[in-house]
Amino acid sequence: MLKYLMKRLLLFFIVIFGVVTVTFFLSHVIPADPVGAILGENAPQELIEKMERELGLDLPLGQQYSRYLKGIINWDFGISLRTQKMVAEDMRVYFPATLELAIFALIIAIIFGIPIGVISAVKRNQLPDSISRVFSLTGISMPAFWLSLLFILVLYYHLKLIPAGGRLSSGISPPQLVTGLYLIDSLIARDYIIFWDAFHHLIGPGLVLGWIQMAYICRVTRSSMLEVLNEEYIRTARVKGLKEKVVIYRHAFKNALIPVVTMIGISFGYLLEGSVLTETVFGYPGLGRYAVNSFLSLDLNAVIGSVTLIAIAYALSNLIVDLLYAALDPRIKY
Amino acid sequence: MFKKNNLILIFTITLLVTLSFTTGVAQEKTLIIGMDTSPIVSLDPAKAYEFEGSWILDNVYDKLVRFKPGSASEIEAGIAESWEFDGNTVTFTIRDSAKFSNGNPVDAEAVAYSLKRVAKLAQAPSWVITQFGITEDSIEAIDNKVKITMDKAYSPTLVLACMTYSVTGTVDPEVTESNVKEDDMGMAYLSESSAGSGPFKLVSWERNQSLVFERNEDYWGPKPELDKIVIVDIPESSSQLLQLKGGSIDLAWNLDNDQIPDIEEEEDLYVVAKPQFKLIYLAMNGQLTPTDNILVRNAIKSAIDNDAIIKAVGGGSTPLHSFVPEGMFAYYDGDEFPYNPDRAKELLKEAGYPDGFETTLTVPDFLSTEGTVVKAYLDQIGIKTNLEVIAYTTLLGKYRKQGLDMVIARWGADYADPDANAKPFAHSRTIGDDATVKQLAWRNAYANPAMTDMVEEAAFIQDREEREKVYIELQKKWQKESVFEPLYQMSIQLGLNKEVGNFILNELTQTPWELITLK
Repeated sequence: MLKYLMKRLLLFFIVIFGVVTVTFFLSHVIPADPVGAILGENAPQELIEKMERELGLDLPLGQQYSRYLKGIINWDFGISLRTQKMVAEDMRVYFPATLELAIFALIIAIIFGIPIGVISAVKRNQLPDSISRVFSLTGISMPAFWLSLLFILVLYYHLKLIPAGGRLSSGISPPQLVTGLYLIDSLIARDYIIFWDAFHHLIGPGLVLGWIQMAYICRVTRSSMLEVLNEEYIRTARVKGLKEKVVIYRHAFKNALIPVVTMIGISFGYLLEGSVLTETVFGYPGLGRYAVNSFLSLDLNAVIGSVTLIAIAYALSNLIVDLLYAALDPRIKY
Repeated sequence: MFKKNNLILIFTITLLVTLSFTTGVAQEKTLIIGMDTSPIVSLDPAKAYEFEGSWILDNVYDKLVRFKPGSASEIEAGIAESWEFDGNTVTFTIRDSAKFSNGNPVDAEAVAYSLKRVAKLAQAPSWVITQFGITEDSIEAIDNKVKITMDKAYSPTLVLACMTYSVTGTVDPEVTESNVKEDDMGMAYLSESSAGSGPFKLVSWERNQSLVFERNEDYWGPKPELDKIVIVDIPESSSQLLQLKGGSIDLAWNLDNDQIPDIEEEEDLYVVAKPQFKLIYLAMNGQLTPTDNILVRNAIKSAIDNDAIIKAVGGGSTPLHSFVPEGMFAYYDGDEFPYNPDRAKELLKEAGYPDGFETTLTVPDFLSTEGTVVKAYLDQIGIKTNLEVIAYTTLLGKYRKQGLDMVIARWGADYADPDANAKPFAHSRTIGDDATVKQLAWRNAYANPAMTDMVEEAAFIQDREEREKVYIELQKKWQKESVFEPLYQMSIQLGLNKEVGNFILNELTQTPWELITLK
């Protein structure tokens, strides 16, 4: 187990190194003009040259690369040209927002996805299964962008149940910074007004992202359950005269969980990096939007910083899933 | 199974109950604006260089002079109550009643300090004033007057137009100096705080969330009716539209052309539109064959139907044929090469290309419609056009290296004087690296010393009428000879709730917030 862990950790660092290197060279090879993009189309040439010198963009590529690597090891990505702040400091603000939304969405996905998946497997090809199929296929096939607009239209505009966007209402200040997750920080500060407000702002984007991930989790749970329900030992259990409930929940469900856990891990990784469109439509100030704004304005330091962070988060959630396997299934030996 | 269903039911009910706790914060007279705030980099007047940032700063800091509400040509007093030009110096007399939002008095020292700070920091917008040879040493505070010495005797109209730019905003020296970090003259602090004497002050800025402004009770001008202005970050235009209709915001800033009819249909909403000093143009490379040939360029100018482009874009645009946009001093509406495909074919034949030629037209992604229409018209006269649609930042990179055959791009004037556009579009003595202005003409590898002389000369003409004549003549010459064909002038279109009144815009996207009313 320890040997496996070491091997996985090594792989983890190789992946991160690869991502950082590819990102660096890609962003420096494209025929673009980052300083010009930041200063705008009207900026005089002298000013552009002055800024390029200040940022070291006139140095040879190899030298810039070694400077970047050194910076990343110290978790220092330099200053964001767009926000004029340290990139690491910016990410400290935007990453917890995305993390909070991802956890919220994942909880919704699990709470609904697994039970619905189990029910459709048990009631295979009956009405509940058909309903759940429509529900999950909608989640899988609808573009997040469109789904977000639909939620705003229905839940905000017509039903007035949720705020239209943002992370807090205007007029409510963020709680004292501890974790950066507003729900937790507001509870620590015992400020329940902020808690409710932050919670309400999570519902819209959380439901959209939760629905999409729920769809995947539900489908995987269903097929895994069906497979297990056809196993010999389930038949044996039934023949032994065990109650159907016990058969399903104690014998089948536990064994069907392994692929579901993988799916949850993938979902979480996806939620951390793939919520850009939802964040944009809901005006939610997360890392996805920060990254996209940085890409669009060629803010190289911020691009490298956010890509590195997302890669780490993704690789880490995969690592945890692999380790969870061992815990869930004693037959898996490393 | 019944129990399980119950569980789901309970979950759904709980969710709906929590949903119904919608937030509602008690509000005074607060105007809520929905805007994509991502372009705003800094709110320090010495650094801000985007439309959104300038639009805000005009109301947080006082400038020496400003434009009358809704105008971009008539100057009125700002923090300076009068001014006097004498050769290469200009002396502003500072009004004595003005106070910063913390109660400190605004005096000549503060004004001089702020202008010196701009020169010393030398950030993106600083050239708007340093182009007159203004340095730290040429700004002097004498009693209640600020005397500025320029390197030459520039036209007063031009100098005053530049003095209305947000970069000249007066900052409180005391607040600025007490927040200096290293050598930054308070730039880090002022990028997210305010120390001005304008009608409003910045109270908070949560990036990518909201900006909150409160009325400055010490403002010297008319007392603003609004207590507060909140700019909420809503990046997506469809969300802005829905929130405007739903009543969460009073004003939607970034609407698309096709959303405007939707607003006009609503009873309690209306549209405020205004042509801007921003234009979309086609440019051809002056060095590469065949567009180095003036006959080929004029053929292309005659081949394009600008009205068709405006129609295709679908609103938010007005016709324009020269580099001086409508609403600016010395506007000229003539067109030397109106749409005439027959003439275009003749010119091509005369140039030695009776069967046309092949070329590449590069356009940024947001101008792909314009690119498609232009391509269609060029194809009609036999010019086989390859349309290359790329990201704007990538385009700028190639453009600055003089590396494009033909391009469609946008341009916004920094100040309301023909000089602001004459320099980029017509000033280019050489296409080499030694050029003094490396702007649009230079980027298209086009030099025209005679036009360059006219641009330089016009900047110094003291008499307004005489100056106008020179600019009109320059524009005619430019239409006949240059590598540019303006396609149209852009407009800004905002959606507002009818409870908001007196929302005035000029062509430079300036709005006096103190005049806005709210029912």
